[in-house]
Amino acid sequence: MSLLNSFTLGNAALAPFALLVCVPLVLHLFARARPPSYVFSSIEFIQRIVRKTIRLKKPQSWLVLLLRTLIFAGLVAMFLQPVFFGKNRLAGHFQKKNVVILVDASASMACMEGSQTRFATACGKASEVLSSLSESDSANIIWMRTPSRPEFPSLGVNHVHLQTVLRKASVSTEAADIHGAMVMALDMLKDPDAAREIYVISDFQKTAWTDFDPAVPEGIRLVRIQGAAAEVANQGVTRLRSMPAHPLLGEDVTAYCEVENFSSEPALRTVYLRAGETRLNQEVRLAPWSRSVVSFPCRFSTPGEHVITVSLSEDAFPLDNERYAVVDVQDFLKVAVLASEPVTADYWKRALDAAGWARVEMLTPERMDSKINADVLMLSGWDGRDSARVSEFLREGGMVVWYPGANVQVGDFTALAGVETTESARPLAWQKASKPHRLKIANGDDPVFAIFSKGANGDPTRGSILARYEIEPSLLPGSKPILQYEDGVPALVRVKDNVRLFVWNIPLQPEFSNWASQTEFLPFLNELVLHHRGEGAQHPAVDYMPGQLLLWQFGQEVVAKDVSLAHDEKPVEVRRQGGGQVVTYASEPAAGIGDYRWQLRSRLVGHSLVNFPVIESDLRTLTIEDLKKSNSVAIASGHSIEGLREGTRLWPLILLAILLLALGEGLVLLRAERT
Amino acid sequence: MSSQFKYLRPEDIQKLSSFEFAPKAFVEGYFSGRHRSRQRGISTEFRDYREYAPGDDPRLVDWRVFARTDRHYLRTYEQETNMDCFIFLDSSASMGFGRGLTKLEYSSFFAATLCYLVTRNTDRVSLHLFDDKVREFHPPGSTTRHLHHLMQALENNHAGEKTSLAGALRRSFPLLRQRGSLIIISDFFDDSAEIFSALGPYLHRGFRIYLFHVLTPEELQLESRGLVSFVDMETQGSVIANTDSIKAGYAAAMQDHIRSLRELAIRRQVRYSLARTDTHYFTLFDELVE
Repeated sequence: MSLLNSFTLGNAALAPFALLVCVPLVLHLFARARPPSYVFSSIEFIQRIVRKTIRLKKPQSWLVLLLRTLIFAGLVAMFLQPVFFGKNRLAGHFQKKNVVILVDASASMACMEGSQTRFATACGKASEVLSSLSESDSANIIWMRTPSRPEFPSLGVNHVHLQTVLRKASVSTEAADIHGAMVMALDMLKDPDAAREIYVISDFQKTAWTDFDPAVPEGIRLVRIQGAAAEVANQGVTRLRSMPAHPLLGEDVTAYCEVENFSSEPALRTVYLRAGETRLNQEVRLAPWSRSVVSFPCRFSTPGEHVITVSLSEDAFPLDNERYAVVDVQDFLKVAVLASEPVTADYWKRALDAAGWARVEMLTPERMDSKINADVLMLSGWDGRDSARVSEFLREGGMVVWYPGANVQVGDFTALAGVETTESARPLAWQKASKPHRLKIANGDDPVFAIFSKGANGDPTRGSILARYEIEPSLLPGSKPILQYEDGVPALVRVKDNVRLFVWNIPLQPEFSNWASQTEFLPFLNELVLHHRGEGAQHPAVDYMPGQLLLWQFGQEVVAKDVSLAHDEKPVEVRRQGGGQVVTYASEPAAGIGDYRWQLRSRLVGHSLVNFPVIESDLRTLTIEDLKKSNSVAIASGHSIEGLREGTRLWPLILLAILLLALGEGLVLLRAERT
Repeated sequence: MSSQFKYLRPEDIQKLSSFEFAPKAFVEGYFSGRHRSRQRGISTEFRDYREYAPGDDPRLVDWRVFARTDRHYLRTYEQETNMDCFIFLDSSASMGFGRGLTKLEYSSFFAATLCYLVTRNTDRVSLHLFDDKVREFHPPGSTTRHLHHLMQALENNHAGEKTSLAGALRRSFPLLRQRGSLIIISDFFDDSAEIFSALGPYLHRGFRIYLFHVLTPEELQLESRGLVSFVDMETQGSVIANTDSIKAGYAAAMQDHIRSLRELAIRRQVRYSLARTDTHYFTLFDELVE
């Protein structure tokens, strides 16, 4: 029945004439039944021949009859004008329709396939959908970007405008907001006063569309049109970061660039780095579906934000071949020292001040309530209470060196370390020793000891310690001691790999220790801070996705006309948002990929970077068979929309079949004559 | 001689007036005359010697030979006699086939003319009309009156029942007391082997046999009539066939039949001629006078 429902007749009024199919059969039977008599002298020879040939002739005769019947049936069928729809039948021309076309304008649609991009193919297909509508049908286009944007606020009948928009449209560098677009489309098709159709025209990138199977209300037809023809080999830069993220002036920086091969073929690509005046390049060999990390050494001679750019040699999909990162070069480190235990704090301050690259600020416990504006936080004698600010500081990538206070509880101690313990109410035990403790290096590979490795800078374990906290190793499971006492008690320990919290268990007070008076103390502390200060956050405020508004905050005293934004030396419109103490300025419109420079009265105040969305780099697409697995209609871009709406007229095929049947009949008759 | 008979037309008689019909056949007859008889008898033309056998006429002994060889030999002579011609005309239903001129009419013209020619030379002619049996038998005669009877018989003749030439020949054999020329005019829609089996006694007795196989052009080559129901004129049986489909096969089968008859005839020293009704029956005399 479903097959029969797939057909309709263009000339249904002539359907009764289908009975004419029986004519050849009737004629045949009639002719067989009453052939004209021919009185002949003797039929002996004729009978003999008939008997001889009947075995061959009879099947031939039936075959000829069958062929003639089929030819006749074909002729009748041609007049009936059958039209085939298949299961993907759409509303016809004479039916009122409300149509929403979702066109994928995401970055992957910029991929070249043959002579045009996937996006151009998609726009062509959308135009075809619009052309298949009658003037009274309502339609709208939703561009699938971030966020998705409709062309009209609601459905409209101005198809000419939509066609013009399609001709002028350009692909974005954004990811597609699929679900947002779908919600928007369903909202536009709430009214069930007409046949409702949603067309999704996309390359159906696997990374974005695999789980897309929306619940479409009954009465709405969802048609997916595959706009990509083939899988395209692509390599792209997927990540760029500097180590450290906030280097000190003159410090060696390494830029790590991650290059990924999104194809089943190996690739050899050249990676270029541009950092200020520095130009470097490296070749990278990429196995199929693999990634490689390329590192470039850099050094910056001026403080401030420096943009580093990494690019790949040209390929079929150039958008993801470039990536930007900001290196925030600092001329000094901000070290905040909490002086609950002033002697130790003082030793720390004096040692760091002597380095020249650290700006030490002493904190009182009260100031711990506000946000800590420092790169390194050193807590001397802190009891571990009200640790929210410290935890926040640690989460943001800051370094904390904690010399516990006298009344610190085991619970407070382990909570900050992120360790659970059952003995939380017990105070951390302070033990004075009758015999001085000796330090020893627990982890010789730690970069802190690099300058001591050849003996030129002395021995950092030199000195005597007469008191210490009895920190059982079980309190800090998974920790990595840098220095420890000869009996195994940790002296300086990094609590966790992913947290830059260091527990300092070496008293510096003269009555308990002479370690601070050793010449090795100063370089050791400086090395500790320099090497473990952390990468710092990668300037989250400056990284944006394509399509997002670039934001920058200025004080209220700044007037709007003094704020400007530039991209590739070209100005970008900005507008002021909100008011109050801090005023936010936003780019208008949403920005594409690149390095944007915020300026205040022509002075650079910072960069906003927009990088390519990594999700768009993998150009593998769902096949038409994958798409057909869902309940919606799925068609390839080559498929005619008009055909789905008006069906496929079968008369040319029938004519061809008739010609073939006639040829077949001729061959059968020719063979019959020869035999 | 003026003619009022259907099958003996005045124009034919006029054409045949200058026709010298002198068959080479050896015949046996009552009157000495133009034809040599194989029967040795009193004549002036020596034929052969043969050893004396008791009962022979002692007058025929060649005494000169006896004197030389001391053995009795008879001197034999060729005997000239009149010709007996026996015409067997197939009058079965199938002979009624033919467009314009049926095979029977064609054959009747030929038979009538032959009767005229034979009687004109004072030879005797006999006529057998048969289908599956001998319907009419006219014993040999050579008078004008006899010829008239034969003409009447031919005119009154019509296509009858099934063919059984072999049967007719077997039944007629006892009726023929004297050897002569046996002329069979038929379409030979019968078993060839049977026919020649029936001709055996005639050949044995020294009959000179001529077979005239009468066929119409339509029988030799089927006309294109499409799908038709062929109805047999003799059996009334029918078969449906497409003339276009069987045309070639039919023509080949007919040629096989003719070839088979011709080969059997040659093997038995019987003269065979195909008589197409679209050719004039005068041409058939060439087969007889050659």
